[in-house]
Amino acid sequence: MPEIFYFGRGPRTLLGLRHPPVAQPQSAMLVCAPLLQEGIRCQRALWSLSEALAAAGVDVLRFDWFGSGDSAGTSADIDVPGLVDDIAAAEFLMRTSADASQAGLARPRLFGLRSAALPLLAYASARREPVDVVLWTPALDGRVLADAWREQHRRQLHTAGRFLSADTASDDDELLGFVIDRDLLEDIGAWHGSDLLLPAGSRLVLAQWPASPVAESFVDAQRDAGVMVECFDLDGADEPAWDDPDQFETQIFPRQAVTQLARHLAEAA
Amino acid sequence: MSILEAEAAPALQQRLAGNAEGETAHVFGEGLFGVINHGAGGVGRDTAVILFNAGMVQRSGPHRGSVLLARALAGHGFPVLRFDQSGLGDSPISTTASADRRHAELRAAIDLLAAQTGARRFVIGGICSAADNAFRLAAVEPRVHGLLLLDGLAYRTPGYWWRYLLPRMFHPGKVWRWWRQRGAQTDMANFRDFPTQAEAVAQMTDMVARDMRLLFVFTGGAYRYFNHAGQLSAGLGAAARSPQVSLAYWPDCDHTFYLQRDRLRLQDTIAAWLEREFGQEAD
Repeated sequence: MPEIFYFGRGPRTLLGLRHPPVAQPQSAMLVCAPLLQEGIRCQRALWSLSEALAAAGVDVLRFDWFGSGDSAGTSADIDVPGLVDDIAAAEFLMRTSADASQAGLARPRLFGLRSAALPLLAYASARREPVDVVLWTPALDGRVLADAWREQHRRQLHTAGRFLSADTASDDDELLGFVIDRDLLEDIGAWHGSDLLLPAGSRLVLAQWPASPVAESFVDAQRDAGVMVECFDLDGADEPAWDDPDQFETQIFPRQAVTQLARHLAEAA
Repeated sequence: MSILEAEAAPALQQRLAGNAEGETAHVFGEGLFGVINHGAGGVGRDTAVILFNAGMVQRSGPHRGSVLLARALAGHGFPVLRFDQSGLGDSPISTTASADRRHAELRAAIDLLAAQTGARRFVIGGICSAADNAFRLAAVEPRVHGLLLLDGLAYRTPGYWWRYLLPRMFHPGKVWRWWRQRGAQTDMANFRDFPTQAEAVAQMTDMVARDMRLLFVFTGGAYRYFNHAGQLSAGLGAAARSPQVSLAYWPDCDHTFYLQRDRLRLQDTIAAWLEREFGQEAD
């Protein structure tokens, strides 16, 4: 059964959920959820993935970003340096836990879904030693991501039928149902995956559906930097309609992909 | 990385029972996960609030609205438990298929909240399916003293249909679109778990006789089954007109409180209602 607790420093306390392995841990993985609304929509899918990995002997930690979920703070407190710090704090907790040291585990694998990829890459690219990263259908271009969020917000206000009046307006600091820092989108827009190169010798698994835009330039850049990249194709049958405004509130749980990915990552562990 | 400076390391290695917001995390019952927002220190309320999952959304609620609501109510001294019912959020699927599983979960939640906060009266509810669950469970759980029903149950009445159809009669295009899509449209009411209208009327009468306090909030997101404040009593009977029942109708608001102005309006409305109905200690 998962363990629930808080961790972090001072007011920046984060909620953590550890999925302990059923047997002696073979490896560890830190799961980073997407930001804002997609984080809410994907929660049960990441819970299920974490449970499956724990059953296969992987020690998994999920956490809520500061200003998200059950962590302290408000969504207006979310900023780019803070996202990177949250990963650092969670990874540090895993690395220094009694369970990890007893099992002799190395640094945890870092896993990011969709928009979690950008802060994760920013964190991992700043490291000196090789890292082990898994990105699931990642958002790799901050500008494209920010524009997609703005467009989705516009649709929710005016065309998706959310409000009886199509003239409903939000305040300038609102996005996708959250109050955000006005600089957040600009700062995220400055991130580009191809510029965030992992240390040489790192391993990267890129799990994508075939219909997803192929991040060829990203893969090429990482390989040129000495990163071993494995592209793992998911069965296309249950690829979610991520940006469909009519499904904005529905849960995203591609069971087939979760099963396929869990099996692949467990085997690799 | 600044946060990993040497002096921070000991603090970062620790697991904490609570956070800086006065919240504590718990596993209770059959492995249910929840977070309690403890009320403001020293106020000593005897009434606590329990928020259920809205549809399939985890305990933080749509747009994190349950977290923000819980923090606002805790600021008024009312402790709040948000928890994931079995099969939702972080809680596992229940191994028991018992018909009263949801009631057992509520009992466990009340026991936890009573032990943690000393509360003796409980208000339960939430958005949409959470409201449906709360209405059904309030009938069978004597420790429930209040219901918070956000886009909760209501029944289409002749007045509803009149208000719905009249404006459309003068727009042939709307009539044609309605006729063409009448079977294909996703209707929120189709996913709801309303009792029969006769059962609901009887339950309302019984709850009011128990002096339970009820707050109904309907938004524009419920327009497919609710479109006028007067529809509540027209559908749920005379008990819905009693002083124990409060009603707010916000047609300019959406079903999940997407806008900050609406989340704040909701927080203020519920806090004022709790102060009015539960501000005094019970005898």
